Amino acid sequence: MASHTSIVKAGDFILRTPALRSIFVPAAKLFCAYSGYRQLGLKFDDLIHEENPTVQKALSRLPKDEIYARNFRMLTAAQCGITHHLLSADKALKPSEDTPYLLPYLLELEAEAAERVELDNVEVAK
Amino acid sequence: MLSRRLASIQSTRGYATKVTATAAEGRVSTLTVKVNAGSRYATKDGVSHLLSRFNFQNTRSRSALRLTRESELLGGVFSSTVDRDAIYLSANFLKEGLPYYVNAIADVLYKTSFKPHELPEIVLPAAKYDLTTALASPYFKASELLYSASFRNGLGNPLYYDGVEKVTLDDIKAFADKVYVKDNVEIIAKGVDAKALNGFVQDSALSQLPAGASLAATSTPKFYEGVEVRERAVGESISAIAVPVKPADFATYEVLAAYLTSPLSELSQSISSASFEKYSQAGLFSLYVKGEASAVASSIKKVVSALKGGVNLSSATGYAATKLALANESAVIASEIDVANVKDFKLGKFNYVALGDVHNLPYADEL
Repeated sequence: MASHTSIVKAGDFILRTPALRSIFVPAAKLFCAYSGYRQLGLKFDDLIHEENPTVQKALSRLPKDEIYARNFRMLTAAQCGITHHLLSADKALKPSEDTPYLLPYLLELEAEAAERVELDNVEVAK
Repeated sequence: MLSRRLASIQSTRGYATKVTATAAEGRVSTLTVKVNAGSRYATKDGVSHLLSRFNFQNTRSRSALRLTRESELLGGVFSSTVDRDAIYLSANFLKEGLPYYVNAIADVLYKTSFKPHELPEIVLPAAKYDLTTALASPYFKASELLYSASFRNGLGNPLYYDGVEKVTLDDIKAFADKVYVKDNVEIIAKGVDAKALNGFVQDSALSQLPAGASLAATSTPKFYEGVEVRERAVGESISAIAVPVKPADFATYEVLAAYLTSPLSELSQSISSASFEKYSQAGLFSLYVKGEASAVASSIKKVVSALKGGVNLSSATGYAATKLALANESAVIASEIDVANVKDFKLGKFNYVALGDVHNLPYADEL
């Protein structure tokens, strides 16, 4: 499974390369807009598969207000799903609000895990 | 002294941090940084304990895991302990590791990152463990009560974080900013070359610590005597007395504690533990009798009446001096007390704690 670290790394590479950036950035914006999660009131980071220890740990490290807001968005989305409604344009999430609130925690955790693996396998040269 | 100390050099050149280096034979060195940030200086109850537990966590230059693993590879070990006077950050290591350990401890003082998740994930459970293991001992419970009865604030503050007063991460950070300053920090090294140590300290983050006032107590705190505390508790019963001591009387009580726990005294059969704990500008002599309540009651009555009648300590000065010298060998800071002139002791006012089956333990006025 691709780690979040590797995805961010690939993303940074695309952003650094003008040719790739001019293709991928508009495509990504279009993809996010049309995938429709913002019309359910969700942020992109709400879609991250959370049934694994890393994400669970990251969620436990979120500040209280962030976790409250996340739960509220989840409930809104569930309600929209049950009632087969989409949020009106003024209530749907704006692209500017779609911030990566969980990603920094995931990257930190993956860096910790990577460091542990590195130190577990370190070879001492005399 | 018992070890062959070659030279002891003190210096405060160039920076306000006091550095004491003692050369010694052998391959092992000890580096201790004493910070005047013990529970007596705590801004909130338990904050110094939590800060002590925050030491050697993630810093901006390396993570806690890396610090531990690197130190393991170099054959050294870190520890951070707290008492009422100070937080001690110490490292035991092989002599050649000195630069690494000076740097590592300097980074802990200067660059600890205080990440929000470390408090609930690592620091609080560790602090809770400290408190739980300490509370398993009735001696600790009794001594906490004796300290709080004898000094109320300052030295009477609880040693460990118990969650009664909530301490947030910001409180810990603010306390760290206040105590980790040049004048409040003292470096004590054993088995190192003083000149090399000074060089490494200059090059490390220790020389970048902000300037600030030392917190060390300069005057004797107010003593409270004649206080009685009784607390019901399950388990063995304990009766304890304590006397707060001025620095001028340290020698007497040092000898007394040694005498009462040695076969020189007939009372040693009845006494479970007697200790004299010295802090800057004040000390506390405490004496504990532990066991089944009715036995404790008769023992404590016997001990207190004997002490009130007066004891001659001149026979125990030699024993106390040897004991002190032995303790100084392993102590971070050797205490310089001259016990040779101690004559006799008479118990005056004292504080009393009854803990356990208080129904069967005597009251202070019955002693």
